[in-house]
Amino acid sequence: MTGSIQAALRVAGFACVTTGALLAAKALWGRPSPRNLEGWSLHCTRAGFLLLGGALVPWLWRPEPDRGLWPLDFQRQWGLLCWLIVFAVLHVHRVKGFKGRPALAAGIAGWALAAGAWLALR
Amino acid sequence: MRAPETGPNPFHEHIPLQVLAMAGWAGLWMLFEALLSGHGLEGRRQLGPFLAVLAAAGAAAALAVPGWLFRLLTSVRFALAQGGVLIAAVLLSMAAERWNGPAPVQGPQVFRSLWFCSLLAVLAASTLAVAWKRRPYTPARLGFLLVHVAPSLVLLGLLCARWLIQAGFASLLLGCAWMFYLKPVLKRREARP
Repeated sequence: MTGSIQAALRVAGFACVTTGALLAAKALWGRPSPRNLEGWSLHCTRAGFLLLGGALVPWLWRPEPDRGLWPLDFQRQWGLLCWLIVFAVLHVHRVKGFKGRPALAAGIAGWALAAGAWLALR
Repeated sequence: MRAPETGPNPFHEHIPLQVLAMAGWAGLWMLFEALLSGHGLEGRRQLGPFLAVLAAAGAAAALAVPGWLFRLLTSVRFALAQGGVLIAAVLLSMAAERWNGPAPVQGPQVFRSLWFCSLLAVLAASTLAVAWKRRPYTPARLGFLLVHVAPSLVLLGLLCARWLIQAGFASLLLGCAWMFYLKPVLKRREARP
């Protein structure tokens, strides 16, 4: 039961991050109103951070006694990786000089890294 | 000798240098871990010496270069560098596991290693320093405070008490919700005539 909730949160979180990356791509290359789209992209990424953080809770809340506290399976490690990537992307948006286009590009690069890790390392 | 706090390109603004420094920090802990293993200390028995050396290193740095250390720990660029190094560590461990790389860099070993714990310790120190910097804690900053105290609670919980882990993650989620969603709603309501 806990595993399925965890998986659902992970999928929902990654869906939010994907939406954020798509909006960032649209803001970077599309027309018009890139400024407004940047805000929505950040909003989706934040929602992804919250949901991916929620997916980490049961792993730390009820660790399996025989497997230790840290995640051993691919899904959990990938969830942790996504959460760290979103952590970095959210901080990029706060760095002076990186706001705007570089932050949007970082959001897309972060999404590509997470998706690439899923495809290549699964 | 005090490190320079200002300049055209100080260390706390230079992300590649910070990443290199973090890698060096992790490398030192790898050596320390190898040293402990050489003396027959394995697994949980390494935790005591690790915490003692970590506390001594932290205290020495805080006494020698307090201003420089505080500026570094509260720098957003340093948070970014830490995120990058942690991402690289997790990616490396996943790749090593997938392609049967050397055992010491495979998933479980990495997450239990002292060098990964040392990176998390820097992250915890950083988040606590940022929380301290943002005093006083008004209701608008409550989310920020919760989010930045939560990682330390989680890490402390991993060391001593399970309920601290739960409190840490509950704080993190509540803080995220407050920062990202509740705070803007409250601000909008306050702005209404």
